[in-house]
Amino acid sequence: MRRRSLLRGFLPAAIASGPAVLYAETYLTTAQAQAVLCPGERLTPMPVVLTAEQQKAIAKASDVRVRDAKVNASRTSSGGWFIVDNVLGKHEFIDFAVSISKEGAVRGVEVLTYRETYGGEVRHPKWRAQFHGKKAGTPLKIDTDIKNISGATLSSVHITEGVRRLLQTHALVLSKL
Amino acid sequence: MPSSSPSSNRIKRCKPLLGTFVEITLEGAQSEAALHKIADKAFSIVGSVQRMMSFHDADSDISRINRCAHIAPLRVHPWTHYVIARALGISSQTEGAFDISIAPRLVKWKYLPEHGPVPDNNATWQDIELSETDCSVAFHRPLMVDLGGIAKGFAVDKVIDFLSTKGITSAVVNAGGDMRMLGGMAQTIGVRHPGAPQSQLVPALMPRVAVATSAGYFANRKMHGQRISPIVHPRTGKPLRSTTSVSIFSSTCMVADALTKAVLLAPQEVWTRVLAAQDSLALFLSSRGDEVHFPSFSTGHA
Repeated sequence: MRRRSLLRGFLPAAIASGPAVLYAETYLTTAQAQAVLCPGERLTPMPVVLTAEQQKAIAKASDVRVRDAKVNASRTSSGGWFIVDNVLGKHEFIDFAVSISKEGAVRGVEVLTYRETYGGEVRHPKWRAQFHGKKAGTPLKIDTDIKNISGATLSSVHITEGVRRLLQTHALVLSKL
Repeated sequence: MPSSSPSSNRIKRCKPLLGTFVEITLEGAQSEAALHKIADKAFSIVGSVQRMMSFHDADSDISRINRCAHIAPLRVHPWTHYVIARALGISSQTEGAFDISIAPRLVKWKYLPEHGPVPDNNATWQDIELSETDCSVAFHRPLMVDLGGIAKGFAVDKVIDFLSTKGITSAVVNAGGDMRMLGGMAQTIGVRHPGAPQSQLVPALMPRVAVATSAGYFANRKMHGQRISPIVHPRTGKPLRSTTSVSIFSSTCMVADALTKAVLLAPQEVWTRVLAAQDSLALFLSSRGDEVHFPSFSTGHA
């Protein structure tokens, strides 16, 4: 059920050795996110295009810039909303879904796709080859050989801001539809 | 690499929690729908830890004790009590290199929001008093604690404890790099290269079930024109300037999480003793890509 797409990109600055690769981890498809966030509910697509005034009002109320006039929203059978949106993470876009109750409360947030751009193959020192049962120099692939990443904590503040923007989109626009 | 048999399902979910991205990977004979239900519950455990231990949430146990525990002892949730107790134990072992009372410095640098009374600058972890009988916390003087250096690890351990009762074949819980594995999923992980954290990974085989990594490279606050890291030396109050990252491999994620800070900040004779006492291993990566293992565990696998 996981899908990973590898797209050729440009060499990032830094110290990349191979060609840069856009690595996308897809956690959930939109349909799967609907099942997880709005279990048992029927969803009716109700895409919205915000007017310039609405965008301005949402930005003011949420203190978050509105990049896109299009809101990929669906109404749920209980009167709530399911919205698929994206935010710019550290470098790449993160797709996420949020479910908002009829009363305007967040029912759940799921990250759908997380992207990072890697320098092609990961470093694989010769002496370490023995641990992987691979010949020295055999590149490790991020999608098949390495599935989990440890590092200094990445902040999820952009998602928090995105959710805040969508709550105001709901309060100012969707709840009046 | 364990390959999934036809009767096995695998899901991977990710939610923004604890200020970072929490990933849960589950593999088991259950249906995908059943695995998602288990993941929902697992995420709700992380949500509970966040509600109890968040510095940002004014209603959390942590915010309550930061406001009032210097006036009178305050009852907290047993989980909060347990994490503070373990944090104090690690403070004692590391001679204060790990200290949950450094929050005032983080507030000053705007890593943490400002609320609560003015803390006493001389306060340390030794001014925190726990009572087992009524699960309370008291401060000997006004101070502020932040569990940001240990709560993520605790949350990961709690989720793994829960998952271990659910008949899962294997699981990985990764809270922004603080990770623990269950069952057969042990494998090679990628540690972010400190010289290019978002474009290069260094592969590392897991010598223990849990790992946590700390480094200053995602720090984005500046003070007097210099980047400052949220990793602070408790004695000098100075932020970490080194660009080295340290990963600690341990049997629990909470110990791994806390020890990353201790190893970055404590004198070597102290942290080598603590690593041995906690049966943990350290991997240092420099921004140039040099690797140091301590003790030199990797060669032992040959």
